Amino acid sequence: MKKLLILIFLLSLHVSGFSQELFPYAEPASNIPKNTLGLRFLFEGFKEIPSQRQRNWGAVRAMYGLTGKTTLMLTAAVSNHHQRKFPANLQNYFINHHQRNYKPNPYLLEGINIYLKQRVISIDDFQKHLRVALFGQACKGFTPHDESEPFLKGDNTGFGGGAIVTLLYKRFAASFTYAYTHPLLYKDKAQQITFQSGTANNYDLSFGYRLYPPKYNTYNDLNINLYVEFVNRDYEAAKMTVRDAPYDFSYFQYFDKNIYNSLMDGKYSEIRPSIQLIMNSNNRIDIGCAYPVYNRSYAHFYPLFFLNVQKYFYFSKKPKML
Amino acid sequence: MNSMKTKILLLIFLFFSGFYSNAQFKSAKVGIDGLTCSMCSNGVERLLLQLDFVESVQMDLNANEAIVYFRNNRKTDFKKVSKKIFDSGFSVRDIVTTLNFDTISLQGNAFYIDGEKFYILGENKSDLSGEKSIRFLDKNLINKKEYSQWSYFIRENDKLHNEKLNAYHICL
Repeated sequence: MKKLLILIFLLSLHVSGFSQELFPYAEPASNIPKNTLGLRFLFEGFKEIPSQRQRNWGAVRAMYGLTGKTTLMLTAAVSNHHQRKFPANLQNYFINHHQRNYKPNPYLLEGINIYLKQRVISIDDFQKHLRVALFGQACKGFTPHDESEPFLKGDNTGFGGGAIVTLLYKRFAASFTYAYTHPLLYKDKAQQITFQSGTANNYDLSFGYRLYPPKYNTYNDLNINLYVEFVNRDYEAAKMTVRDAPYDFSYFQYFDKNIYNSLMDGKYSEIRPSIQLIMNSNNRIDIGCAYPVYNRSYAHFYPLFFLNVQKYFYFSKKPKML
Repeated sequence: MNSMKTKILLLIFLFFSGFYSNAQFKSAKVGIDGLTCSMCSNGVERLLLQLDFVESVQMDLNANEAIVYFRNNRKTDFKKVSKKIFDSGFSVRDIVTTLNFDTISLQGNAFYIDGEKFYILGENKSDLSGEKSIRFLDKNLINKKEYSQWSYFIRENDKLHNEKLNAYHICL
């Protein structure tokens, strides 16, 4: 699987050569300019099956260029993906919480994430570059995540990191991200429940193409960029204890296969096509969706739709001239 | 007495700063590598405009060049221009500007502008006159490839002239 991905990546370099690396899902190896603040609103939504309830996730992200090579990001996420605490009747919860008659989840502050990215290699040439960045992130989650697949975008308390390689050639861009995710144990002392999501590895591939304009006239030109991103993940099974005794998930497979699978180990690939509009060379909107191509993620349903809105704020330190 | 000294020093300083602020650089063309998107170009322009000696910036989005216009009452610092390009996440391809050699007194292959020393490399330096376009050869003022070709000549030149300061090296 890994070999295949590397092969596809290398092949694609030869076929298309590579502009647009402002990936909606992945982070590029490039950075936000020094002393520049970026604000991004993120949204993800999908219909839960079988309840047909809308599940939403939204976040605000502040991005800041500490240097021309270092980016710091802080993200706070809100969602209706979790309960405030695990309910007392766990069996009923796991079997029925995707059902229409089960009490819906409230909107809660899900978690906060801190992310630091350092560019370590930059080979720049005329309208092309190859860049490598290393990143680390940590998340403090405030809600009980009930799936084996971990997320540092709010769901789990944990940490992770990895490396990004981004290539840009004129109107094409390609990027590979390896990310390691290590969730920490969730503890509910009052109810004596612990929940441990699995550790995960990502091997994500992203491609971008500037559709319009083929040639720039002014900053006011509307840019239209197309992206295809592949999220490739593997993760370990979840472990749960109740009053210090291991909790057995196998019972759930007779009720809801999705619930059972969401607690087991797994690996999947999903495709995330998206379109991006950039207005006045600053205001950026991304709209896209995710579909499974190999297995699926049991942490969300498909199709998943996402929307990002972003703006940069530049600070002028220039003294006023008389 | 002390205040008298300060006043004299201040006067001397003002005299020389007035003398040196005869700005010679009106504009420069800065080639930027690794850049293709207009949002990124916008970032470069915004960062360049933060420099107090920069009057305005004109970006060529297709050639990835910035024409930087300088204020005539401020000292131009090309190292700061380069720093802003790197801070915005890109690299300098080259910096080209023009100088009027009629107003410059050459000492061998060297001359001063605004108290900064410049060495001319790789050219017959006799009878330079009129407007000439110059390119910078120093690290981060030119792309790595060309710098590696010039670095030997820069070192040899500095050895010959016992140059220890951060002088600029240019070619015509």
